[in-house]
Amino acid sequence: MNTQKAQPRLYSSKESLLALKAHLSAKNAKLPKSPTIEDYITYIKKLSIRLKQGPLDFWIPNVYRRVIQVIRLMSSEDGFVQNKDKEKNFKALGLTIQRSSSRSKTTIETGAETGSNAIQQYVILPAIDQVLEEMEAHSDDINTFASTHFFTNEVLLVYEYSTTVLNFLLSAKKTRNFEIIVLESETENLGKQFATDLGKHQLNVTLTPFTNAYAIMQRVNKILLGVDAILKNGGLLMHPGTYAICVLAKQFAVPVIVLSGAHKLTPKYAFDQTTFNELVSPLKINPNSTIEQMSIGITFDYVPPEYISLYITNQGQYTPQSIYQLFSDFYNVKDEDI
Amino acid sequence: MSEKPNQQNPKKGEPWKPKEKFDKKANKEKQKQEQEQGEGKQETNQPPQQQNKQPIQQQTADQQPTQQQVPTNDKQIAQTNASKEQDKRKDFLSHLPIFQDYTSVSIKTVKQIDPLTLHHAFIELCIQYQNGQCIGSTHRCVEFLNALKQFIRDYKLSRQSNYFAMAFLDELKKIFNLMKNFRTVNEGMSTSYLFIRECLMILRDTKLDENESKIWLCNQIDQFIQSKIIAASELIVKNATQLIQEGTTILVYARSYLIENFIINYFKQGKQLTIFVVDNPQFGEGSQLVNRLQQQGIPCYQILLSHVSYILSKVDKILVGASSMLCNGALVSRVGTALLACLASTHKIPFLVFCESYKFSEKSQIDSLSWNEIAQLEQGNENQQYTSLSLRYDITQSNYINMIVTEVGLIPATSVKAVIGEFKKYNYVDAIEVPRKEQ
Repeated sequence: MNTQKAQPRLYSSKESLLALKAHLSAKNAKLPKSPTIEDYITYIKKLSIRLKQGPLDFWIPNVYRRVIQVIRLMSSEDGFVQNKDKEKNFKALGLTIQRSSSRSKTTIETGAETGSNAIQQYVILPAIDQVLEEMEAHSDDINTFASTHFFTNEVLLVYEYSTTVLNFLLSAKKTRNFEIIVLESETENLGKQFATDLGKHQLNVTLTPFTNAYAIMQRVNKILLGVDAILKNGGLLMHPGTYAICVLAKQFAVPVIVLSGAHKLTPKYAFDQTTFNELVSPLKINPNSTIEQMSIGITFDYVPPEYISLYITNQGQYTPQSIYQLFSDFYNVKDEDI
Repeated sequence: MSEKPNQQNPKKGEPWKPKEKFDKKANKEKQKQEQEQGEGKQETNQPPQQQNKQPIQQQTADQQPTQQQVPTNDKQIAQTNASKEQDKRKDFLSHLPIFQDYTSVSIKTVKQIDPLTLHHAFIELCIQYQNGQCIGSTHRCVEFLNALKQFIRDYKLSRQSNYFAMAFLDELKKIFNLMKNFRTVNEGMSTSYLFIRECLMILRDTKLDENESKIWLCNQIDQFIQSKIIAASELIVKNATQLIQEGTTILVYARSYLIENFIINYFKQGKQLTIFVVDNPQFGEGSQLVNRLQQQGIPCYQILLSHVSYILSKVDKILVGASSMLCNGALVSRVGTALLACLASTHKIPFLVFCESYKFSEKSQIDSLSWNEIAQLEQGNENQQYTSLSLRYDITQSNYINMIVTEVGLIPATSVKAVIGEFKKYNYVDAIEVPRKEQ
């Protein structure tokens, strides 16, 4: 499932949105003749279940949940519209007038297509576009906080590849001077790639194998982590090894800052390392492993919320105790089944 | 024996660099190295020693090996590369020693300068240290003592001194100083050095002739190995077998001579254990242990250090070996042990250390960076924009260690100082038998 490791999760989310658009505009889209908002929502839910690449794929359902939430908000009759564009405002306003007028009528056959197209055009597609926009711009929003958390000549620790962290550091570099230590995991070359990418921008980078984490930790001032999924209790699912780093950080009282776009918010709960996890093939860890000497490798590490100091998302900064608020703004409780 | 002028006295205006004597260039072809190892013993002194002396004296200390060959023309290029590398290593670890990648070729050129400096047994040993063929504290110590015995047998007194003991004491000091250029001397080797010094003191008071002294000294070294390493290992295995019940799940990190013996012994008694071996791919010790267990027919699981969090809930005990135990109760061991200890204390898993008593040290250390050894990673390209860092050792604090299994018993980490105090009465070893002259 996680074959594309160096690509950010953003790509799979974006591609799934574009796929949604394509599905909707396809001629044999399995929609009833005059689809309402609810029909669209069930359609999107079914599509997400179909496109999901396994039980541990969080990013496609997250993005679809967000789309559904935006659709709900845009089509709500209270008229509170969340999007920024004025044009869309007027369009949505026009739609509510149209809907209130069309409710009194039964389904209009000639106008059914135009009605569905109208809904599609004025609600669904703008919703998808808004979500896409949010995702594109998430890095910029996160980077606004770049300078506020660092002092001069700090030493930062990062682990494996994360494009969010990369952009964050590059924007922080403009105002602060710091030193970076990159921990690399034993199996993949992502750590080296990250160090090279950082080094290209004239940052002071040191690359260390994972085993040196304890020795290095006393020198580190802050830890920046990219994340795979943020769970509803504030816990995180991340690259294997981050749990060990967070435990060490707590021992040394080093603050851990988590950077992520809001598309990684996953309204699920986990309690230990095995709730959302998968064993990888033993040959990946050690090509010489046999049945007698089996290699064990895992996909995710679960980090409980007590180890994190701050979450920086494109919707704002949160502590583990308050990140549930973001979930209630971002998603709807009805959509948690996909 | 007179010392060479460039060994100790720094030149005026230059900061003292202890490695000024050796040729600093590294040859990467290790196959060539092994071939020449066989030839290296037999080659006699090559043409002009004087010619080779001067360019080597002018060289400054390299910080990292370069990709170039030994020939004398390229020494200047090596110097400029060296200065570049020195600039890079000006970070927080600039105080740590970095050891060169020597080959037998480069060492031969040193031999040409001073052929009597380092015996060929030690040179082979140092190359083995470099290659990674000889790692692990017990292994290194035993190999060192074997090389020392060989040296003793080949050693011939010069006519200046009649006393074997005093002359050999000087030799011993020299050997140690030179060995420090290759890899730091670990605690076990220091203890054996103290022991041999004690023997030589005793020898000085008796009037044995050269051959008998040599034989006696070799016997003493054998006894040291037997009592402090082999017999100690058996006692430790016996103590540990009482601790660990059948069917427990244990986690082992990297490779330790004691733990390996313990596991093999345990299975020979017919009991079962579930074993997780945590591997350190940089040194390859975990896979060595796994291969060894495989030969004995013992099944185990392999896991990487970053994936350890997954199985910690299933593990009952964690066993590690030691490079040395320090006076303040801290454990010096393979890098990564401290991380494991921290995780163990969070999950409340007992953390056991297996350590013989000859590895106890009087030093104290609090953190891993004030003293350490930098291990050479595989070389990236020369113009990479980041610096690589890789340490060899790790300090685990005493509050993470639950128990130390030694041959004197099961002791907590805080009692290391008391044990050292006991041993000091006997100068770190058992009473040494005074030799009698055979008639």
